[in-house]
Amino acid sequence: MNAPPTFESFLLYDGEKKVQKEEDTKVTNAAIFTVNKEDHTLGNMIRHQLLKDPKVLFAGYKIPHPLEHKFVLRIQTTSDYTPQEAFMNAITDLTSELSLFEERFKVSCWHDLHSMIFFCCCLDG
Amino acid sequence: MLRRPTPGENEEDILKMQEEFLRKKRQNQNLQPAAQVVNLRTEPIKRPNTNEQEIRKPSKYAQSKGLKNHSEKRSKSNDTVGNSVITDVYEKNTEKPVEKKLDGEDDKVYYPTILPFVLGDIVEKNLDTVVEFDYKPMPPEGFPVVRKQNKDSKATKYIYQKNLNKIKKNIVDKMDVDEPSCSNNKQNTINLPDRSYILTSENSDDIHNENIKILSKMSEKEILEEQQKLFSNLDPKVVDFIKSRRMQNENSTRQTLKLNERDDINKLATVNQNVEMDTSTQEIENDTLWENDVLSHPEIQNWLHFDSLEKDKLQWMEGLDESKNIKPDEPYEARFDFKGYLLPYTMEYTDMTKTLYHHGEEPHRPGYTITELIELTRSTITQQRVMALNTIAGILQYHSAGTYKDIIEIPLSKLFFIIRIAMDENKVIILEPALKAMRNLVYNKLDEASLDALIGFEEGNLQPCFENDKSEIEELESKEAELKDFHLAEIDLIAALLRTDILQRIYYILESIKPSFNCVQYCLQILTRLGRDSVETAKRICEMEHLMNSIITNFVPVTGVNFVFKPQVVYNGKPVLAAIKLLRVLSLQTEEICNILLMKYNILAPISVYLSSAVDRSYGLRIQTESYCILSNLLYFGLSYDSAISLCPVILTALYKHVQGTDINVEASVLAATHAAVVLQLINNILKHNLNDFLTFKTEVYKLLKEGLLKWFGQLSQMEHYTCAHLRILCSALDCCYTVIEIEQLPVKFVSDALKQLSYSKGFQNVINNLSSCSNLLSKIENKDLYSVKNLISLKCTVIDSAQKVLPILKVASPIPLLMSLFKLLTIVNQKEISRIFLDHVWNYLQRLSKCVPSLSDNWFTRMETNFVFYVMKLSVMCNVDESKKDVMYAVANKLCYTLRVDKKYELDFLFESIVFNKDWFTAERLLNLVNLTDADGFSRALTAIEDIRQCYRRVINLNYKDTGANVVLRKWMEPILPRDWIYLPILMLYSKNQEAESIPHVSGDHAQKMSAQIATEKEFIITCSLEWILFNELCFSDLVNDIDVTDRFCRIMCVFLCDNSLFLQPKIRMLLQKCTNVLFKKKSAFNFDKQLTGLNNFQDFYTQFLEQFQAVSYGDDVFSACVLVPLAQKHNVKWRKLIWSEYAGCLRALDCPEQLLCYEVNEYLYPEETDESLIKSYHRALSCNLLRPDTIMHKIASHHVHIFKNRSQIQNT
Repeated sequence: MNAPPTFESFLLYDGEKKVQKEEDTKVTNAAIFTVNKEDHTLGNMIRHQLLKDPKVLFAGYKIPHPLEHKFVLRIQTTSDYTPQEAFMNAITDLTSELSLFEERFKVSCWHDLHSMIFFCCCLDG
Repeated sequence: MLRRPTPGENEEDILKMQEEFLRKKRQNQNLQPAAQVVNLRTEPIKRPNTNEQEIRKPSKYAQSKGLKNHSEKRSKSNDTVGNSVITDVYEKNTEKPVEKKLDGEDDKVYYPTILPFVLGDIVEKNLDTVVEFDYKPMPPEGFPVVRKQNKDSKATKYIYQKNLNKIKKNIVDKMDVDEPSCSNNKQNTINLPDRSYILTSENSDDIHNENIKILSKMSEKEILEEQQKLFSNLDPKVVDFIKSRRMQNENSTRQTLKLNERDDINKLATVNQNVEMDTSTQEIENDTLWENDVLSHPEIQNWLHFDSLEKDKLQWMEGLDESKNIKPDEPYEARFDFKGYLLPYTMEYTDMTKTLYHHGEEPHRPGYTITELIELTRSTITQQRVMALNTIAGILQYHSAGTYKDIIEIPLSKLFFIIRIAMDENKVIILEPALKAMRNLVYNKLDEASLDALIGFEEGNLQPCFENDKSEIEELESKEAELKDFHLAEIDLIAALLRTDILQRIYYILESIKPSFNCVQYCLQILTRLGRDSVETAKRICEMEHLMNSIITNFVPVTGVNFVFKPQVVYNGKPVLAAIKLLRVLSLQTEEICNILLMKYNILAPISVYLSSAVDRSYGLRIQTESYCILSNLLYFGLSYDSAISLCPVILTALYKHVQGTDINVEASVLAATHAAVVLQLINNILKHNLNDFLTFKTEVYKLLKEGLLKWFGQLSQMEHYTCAHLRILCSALDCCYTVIEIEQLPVKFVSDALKQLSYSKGFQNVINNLSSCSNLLSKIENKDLYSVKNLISLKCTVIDSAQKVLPILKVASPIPLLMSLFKLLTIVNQKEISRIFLDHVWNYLQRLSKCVPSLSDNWFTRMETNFVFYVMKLSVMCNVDESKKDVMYAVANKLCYTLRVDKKYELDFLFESIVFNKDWFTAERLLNLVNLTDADGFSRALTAIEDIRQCYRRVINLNYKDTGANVVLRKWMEPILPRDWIYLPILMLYSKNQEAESIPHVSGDHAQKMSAQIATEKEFIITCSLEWILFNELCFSDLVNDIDVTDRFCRIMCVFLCDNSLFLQPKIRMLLQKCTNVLFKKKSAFNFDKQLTGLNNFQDFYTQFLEQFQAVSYGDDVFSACVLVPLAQKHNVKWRKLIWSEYAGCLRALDCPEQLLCYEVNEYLYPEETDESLIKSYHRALSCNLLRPDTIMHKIASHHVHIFKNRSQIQNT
C-alpha cells in the first residue's frame, strides 16, 4: 500500500525547517512564510491574530495541497513595520493569550472541583 | 483445550483443525469435543394435556390417512405411542427409530436423520374411492353404515366439487339424535321460496334445502341483519348479477310448466324450442348486443354455440360508447394500428377500422397498446404473434423515422428483448416479422439511405462510425461484461445484441432455415448495422468463418449480374445486393479487415466478374455500383492494385459509355448517374495512387475526362432544373480534374475556360440560388429537433416539425456537394479572375453565415458544407479579396473555427495562420476601436505580437496534426476541435491544471529551479497572450464573442486569478485583467450568477474558491477586489453577500477597491436597503470586531446598512 506514514503530518523530516521566510517581490513590504507540518489550526489562529494588528495590511494563509502538511502565510505590513515583526508579535501575543486561557481554565476547573468536594462533604453530613 | 475457529480463518484452517481433532481423539478416546449435539428425542414426546386426548377430536387429515391405510384399529389400540397426530406422522416417516444406538459408536455425536416434510405439496388427486369424512361421532346402529358408491356422479366434475357435494350431503343427513324440539315446531313465519332460482347445478335442491334449514332457524330480524352483512361484504356487481338471475329465472318459471332445469338445457337445442328460450330471447332482443354486425347475421341461429345469447361471453362485441371522449392535453395510453401507426384517441368506426376495437381495458378505443402487443408476441396462437411482431416492426419503423419524437416514448430496450426472443423461432412465418422488427430497430433505413445518397461524391467515401458512446459504463466503474443484459441494452443496444449471440443465430437462419428473400435481406441488413458499429464488431463478423462463407457462397456467387431481380433469386446462385453492401461496409473499417476479406474470402473474384459483366438492368447496375465502391475502398487502403489495373479496360469502357450516354438532365436515370459517378471516383482513386501500370491508360482517361467534363458542364449551364443526384457525375469529374491537375502540376486551360463559361451561365445561377435554403449551418435547426436515441446512435438526418422531413443539405436540389467539388477545384486552378466571380456568387450566403450562429455543426452531413465553406475561405485567401469583403470573410472564418470537427486540424491551422491570426484581415474599421486605448496604456501587442499569440493557441490546442493515413471510417466525427469559447481555452486549461492535484516531485537543486522558472514563464506567456487576444476580440470583434454569455465570459476571466498565486500581481497581466474586466463591466446588466455556468462548476463552488484565493494570496489587489465585489451588489442573490460576510469574513480586511474600478456604482451596494437580519447582524459584528479597515468600501457598506437598520427599528419602536 502507498499510504503515507502516520507521523508525516506532525514530524519534521531530517533537515526540514519549521518556518521558511521568503520576500515577496511583487508587492512592497510583504513576505511569504511557509510553516511546515501545520494545518488550519495554527494557520487560522495566526491569521486571525495578525488581522487584529492595525499595521498589518494583509494576512492570508493557504494550504497548497491537502496532502502537503504545511501552510503558506502571506503578510503585508505598513512601511514602518516588517512582516517578520508582525509575525513574531502575533505569535508572542498568541502564546500569552493561550497561557492566560490555560490559567483561567485551570482555575475554573479547580474551583468547580472544590465546590464539588464541599458539596459532597455536606451531603455526608 | 481445543482451538475454536476465529474470524478470518478459511476452510483450509477448519480442515486442519478437524484433522488435528481426529488425531487427538484417536489417541485419547475420552476426549471431549468442544461442542456436541445431544439427541433429546429418544423418548416419546409427552404432551402436557394427556388427559384431554380422549376429548380431542382427531383431525380430518389424520382420520383420512388412517382410513386409507386401514389402520383404524391401530389408532385406537396403539395407546402407548399416543394419539397425538404429530407422533403418529413422525413415527411413520422415520425409517429407523433414533433411540437405537449403534454398537461401538461411543461418541455422543448425533447425526440427525433428515425428516421429510410432514406436509407435501397439495395435489389434487383423482381418487377412485371417495373419502368419506366421518362426521358422525356415533352412528345410530353402533357400527358405521355401509355406503353405496354414488354412481351418477360424473367424471367431468371437479374432484373437489364432487367431494364437497358429498360433504354437504353428509351435513344434510340428519342425525338420529334428539333434536331440539323448537327447530321443528317453530312456526315458519317467513315466506321462504320452495326452490333456488340462482343455483342451477344438479344438487341445487340439496343446497337450497340446506339454506332453507339455516334460514328457518333464524328469526326475520337475524335474516335481515345477515342480508345487510352480505350486501356490505359482496361486490355490488355480484349482488346485481344474483338479483338479475333471479328475475330471469322467475320469468321463465312462471311460463314454463314444471320443467326440470336440466331438461331445459337439453331441449334448448332441439327444434321444439322451449318456452324459456323464447322468453330469454324476447328479453334480450332489446339488447344492444344484437345490433353488432356479427350477431345480427340472419343465419346466426344455425351457428354452433350461437343459438343462445351468452351475454357474458359476447359482451365484448357490444356496441361502442361513442360519447367517450378525452379532454385535450390529457395524456392517454398510446394505441397503434396494424402498421404501427399511432392512433388518435377516437376515430371513425368503419369497416376498415373495426378490427382495431373491442379488446383490452378500453374497448371503445382503436388499436393495440405496446403492453398488449408484448403480451401477444408470446401468445400460443401463431397468428397473434405474427400480428404483434408486424405491428411492433411498424412502430419501430415509424419511430426510427422520428415520427414519434416528443409524442411517445417507445421502450426500445424492452422491445429489443421481446424481438430477440421471437427471433429464436424457427418457423419462417414468425421469423420474418421478428427479423423485420429487429431490422427496423437497429438498422436505421433513413440513415442508410442518406449515406447511400452520398455515394458518388468524394465525401461519400468517408463513412461515420456508428459506435455508441460507452462512457457511461466507465462512469459506473464497471466493465461491460459485468452489466446486466437490460442495463447494457439501456446503454448500448448493439452491444446487447451482440451479447445475445446474434451472429450465430443469423448464421443458423441463413444456413439451415434458408428463409425467404425478405428474411435474408433483413439478416444482412442487421449485419450491416453491426458492421458499422466498431472495428471489433466488424472483425468479429469477418472472423466468423462459417457465417461469412455462408454469405459469400449463397449471396455473392461468382456469376454475371445481368438478370431480372425477383425475390426467388435468393439461394439460387444469384448475388444479393444487401450482401454486397455488407461487404462494402465491412471493407470500410480497417486495412486488416480488407485483407481478411481479400485473402480468406477472395471477394475480388465475384467483384471482378460483376464489374466485367454486361448489365442493362437496374439491379445489376446497383450491384456494380456497390462493387465499384468496394474496389475504391480497397484502393484507399492501398490494396488490390493489380486487380484494379487488370480491370482498367472494363472501367474505361464503362467510362466511355457514360461519357457517351449518361446525361445529367432531370429526366435521366439516377442509377446510371450514380454508376457513372462511382466509376469516376474509382478512376480518381487510381489516379491518386499514381501507379506506373496505369500510365498506358492515362491518355485515354484524360481524353474521356475532358470530353465528359465539357459535356456535363454544357448540360449544367443550360439546365433550368437539376437534382443533386445527377450532379454527382459532375462532382466526380471535377474531383478527377483536381487530382489530374495536382499530379501533373499543369494548368489545364480547357478547365479554366469551362469554369469561366459556367460562372456566367444561367444554369449555374439556378444552382447558386438554392444555396442558402439548402444550408445546414444557416438552418437554425437545433439538435433537439432531430430524432435521436441514447442507446442507439443515429445520424439525425430527419427533421421533425418542419415542412421538409430531411436536413436541408439532403434536399433534392442541394447544390452544396457540387459547390464543394467546384471550389476545391478552383483552389487548385488558382486563377484570381475566375475565383472572384465564383466568390461573388456565394457572397450572399457568406454574408448570412457571418451573421448567424452556425447550427447543426455536429451533424455528419454538415461536413460537406463546412468543407465547402473552408474552400471558399481558402480561395478568398488566395485571391486577395477586397478590403470591403474582408470583414465578412473574417467573421465566417471565425465561426468556421469552432464548426470544424476533430479530423480537420489541418484546415484549422490554415485558418489560424491565414485569416484568424493574420493582421491583414483586421479591417481598419475594426482596429479603430483600439485607438482610445493604445496610446494611454501601451496596448498594441495584439498587433505586433500576433504571431506569438497564434503560437500560444496552437500549442494549447495541440494543432500538430498528423496525417492519419487511409481512414475511411471516422470515429470521432461529432467532436469539434475547438469549443465555442475557444478564445478562453488556454485560461481554462491552466485553471483545470491548477485544480488537479498535481504533485510536483520535490527535487531541489539548480535544475528543479530552472524547471519551475520555465513553467512559470510559460504560464505567464500563455496568460498574457490569451488575455491580449481576449481583449482584442472583446474590443474589435465584439459581435463575434457576443453570443457567449457575459457571465460565462466574466467567470473565465476570474479563472485567471485562480490559475496562479501571484501571476495577477504582474503589472502587465494586472493591466490586461483590468481592461478585460472593464469591458465586461460595461455589460453589467447581463450578469446573472444564479444560472448554470457552461463549462465550469456551479457558481457557488466557484465563488467560494475565488474568495478563498482572495483571502489567502490577494494582498488586497484592486482588480481582484473589483471582481470579488461584483456579485455583492444588492441586485444579486443575498447568498453571495452572506457568504463573504460570515464564512469568509477574513477577506473583509483586505477588500477594498477604488470607485472607478468598481463594476457597479457605490449606490448599488447601498440601495435598496438590506432587510435580511442575519446579514445585518454580520455587518454589525464585522464593524464591532474590527474586521474592517475604516474608509474602505466594505466599511462603508456595513455601516450604511447597520445605520439604516437602526433608524428603521427606532421608528418602528416609537
